[in-house]
Amino acid sequence: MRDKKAIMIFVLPAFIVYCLIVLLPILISTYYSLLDWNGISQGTFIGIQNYIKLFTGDPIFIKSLWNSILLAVLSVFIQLPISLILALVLASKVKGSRFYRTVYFIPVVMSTVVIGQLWMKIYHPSFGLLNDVLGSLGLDAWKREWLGSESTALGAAFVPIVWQYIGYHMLLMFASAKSIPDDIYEAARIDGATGLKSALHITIPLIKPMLQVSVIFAVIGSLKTFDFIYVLTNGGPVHASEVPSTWMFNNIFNQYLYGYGSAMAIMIILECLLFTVIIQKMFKTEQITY
Amino acid sequence: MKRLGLIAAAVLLTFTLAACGSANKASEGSNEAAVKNLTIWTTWASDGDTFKAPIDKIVADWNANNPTIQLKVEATAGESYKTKIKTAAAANELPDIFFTWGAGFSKPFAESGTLLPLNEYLNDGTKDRVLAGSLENFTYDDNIYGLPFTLYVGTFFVNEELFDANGIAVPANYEELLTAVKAFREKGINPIAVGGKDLWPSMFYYDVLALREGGADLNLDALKGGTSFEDPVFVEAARKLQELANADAFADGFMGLSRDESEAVFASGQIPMYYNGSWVATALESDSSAIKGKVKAMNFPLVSGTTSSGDEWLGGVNDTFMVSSNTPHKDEAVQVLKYLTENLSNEGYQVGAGLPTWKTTEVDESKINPLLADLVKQTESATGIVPPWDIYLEGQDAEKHKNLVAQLLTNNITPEQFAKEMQAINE
Repeated sequence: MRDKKAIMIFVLPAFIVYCLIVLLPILISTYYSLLDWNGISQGTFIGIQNYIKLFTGDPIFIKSLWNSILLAVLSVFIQLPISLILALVLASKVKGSRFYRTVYFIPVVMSTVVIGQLWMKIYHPSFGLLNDVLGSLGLDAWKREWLGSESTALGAAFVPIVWQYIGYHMLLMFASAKSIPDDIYEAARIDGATGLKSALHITIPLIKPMLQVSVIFAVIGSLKTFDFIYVLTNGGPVHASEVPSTWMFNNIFNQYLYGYGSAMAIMIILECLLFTVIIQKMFKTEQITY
Repeated sequence: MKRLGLIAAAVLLTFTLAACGSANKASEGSNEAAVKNLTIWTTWASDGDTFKAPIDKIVADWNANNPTIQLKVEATAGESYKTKIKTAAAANELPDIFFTWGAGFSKPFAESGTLLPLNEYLNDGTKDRVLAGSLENFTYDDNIYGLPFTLYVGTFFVNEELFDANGIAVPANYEELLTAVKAFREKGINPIAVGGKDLWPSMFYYDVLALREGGADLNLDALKGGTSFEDPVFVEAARKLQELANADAFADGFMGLSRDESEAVFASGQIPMYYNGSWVATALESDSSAIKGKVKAMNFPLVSGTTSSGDEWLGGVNDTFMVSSNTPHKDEAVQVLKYLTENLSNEGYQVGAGLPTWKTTEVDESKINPLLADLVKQTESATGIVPPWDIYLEGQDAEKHKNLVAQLLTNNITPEQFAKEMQAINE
């Protein structure tokens, strides 16, 4: 670790590649976001007009921002607790934990488009599984046009998003919980802490750094979510389930507003950075070494 | 010495990565001197796409007969094709010949100079051999950029079996349509299919109602920015569409269904009515169709008390192939373009993919899709054709129009607000 030059030189190739495929496009997008440009012919420089329009002249963008924040809240308060409970149960050496681990992880390895198609069938208003089940339970009044009505579309699209990544966060937390040395538990057992008590006072505090990672992933993932919404509702009906990235896509590719769409892209990046910093500040964890 | 080794290692690492990226390019163009390779992009990727079989056959024929000009087709399915050509146009990397849409869609391409103007190539009689007016959508600033190969019209598909089985009369005008809608609802049948998630299928219903209310001339004039969209006929069309929606005319949950999903229900024989492009006819008459031979294709019901006749259609010639101004083989590309579009017109009609746009009559009428043959007869006397509005208007305006129709259908705006918002496009 002493040869600083060697470190620099070996980091250089990866750094160059990183700059070319991550930083450079962001810089170029920032430039585009200052243009009035249809993406094909010559653009004209208009300063920060696009950003002003984002916050003063585009109610749909504001709405999409709220939708994504709502999704982030749901992820943190519904998805992560479920993941945590599953991880704790599986880590406490229940029978068949390997089997369950695999089962919960399956949605993560499936393509989102496949899952989207699957849920579209589940939500289908005429012969979807969900409405059929409700019907056979005698709950006809609960039947909905899940993806086709403004009041339910967003919620319906959230379910598969939250569902898919439960297994992912569970695995992160599970691995972290497994790495806690047994002697800590043994000491706790001698002091009389077992079951729920040891989970609450030993496991959860010790996997806090991993919880922080999970929260960041869940929040960032929600803020920039695209694929599920695109497949399930395409932002509709009447923009009820619009999120910033689908609205950005719509502006760039359907309305030829390349400059304006780029401004949205930059806003999404800034938003993600902001939330990452906030979450890190909130956790402020000390490093734990065993 | 140690330091030198490190630098060498770093440089090597960087360059091996860079080399991976460009190694492929050199080998591709090696035999170009003898054979001219032309790439064609299409959006017909699966065997279910109606023009897939015709274009495969035409290209195979060409390649067999022209050893010096070889064609290669690359297909990308669905909406992503639009994204692909827009991206390629922005990067100036369009292929030699590519499928695209006319009117508003390709206008930015033409304005940016990425397309090859065809005017000087078409004076060999080509202009007289295509349907009159069919080049209009591919002409920007007096330059022609594309050739037509298929004509489509908005078609009202009616499942006669369902109508007969329920003792309901096929509607000839709007009032009867409303009656039929209510009658089907009472029997627990979804009356009309539409895929509202894709926005344009529901827009078709508004655009044809506007045509019925105002007539072709007035509609075209309004689209050009002449007549105001606040004209009573457009308000009335919006009111009628909302009236249909509020009578539950459209299938349950239609706002959440894509066109494919909604069409599948109609094709399975569970929905009696469907208004969409004539291209649907192919699937409905295919051997795997559950309603083969039970469907009638006709124009949208009339609105009594208006000037619009049954000879006015929504539709047009909008699918086309264009040539990139970047192509190294301009003459050959145009030659292929003519061959391709003329043969697609014939082959496409033969297999029932669409109505022909080239005046060639070497078609065996008996083998034609009966729905299309019927439509050709019905449209022979056409007095006016109005393009679907999203085709005529450009990107942002088209998107706005489609979203306004969606808002009408979900009762978020009144017909008057709709008209006012539409007129904002023209101001």
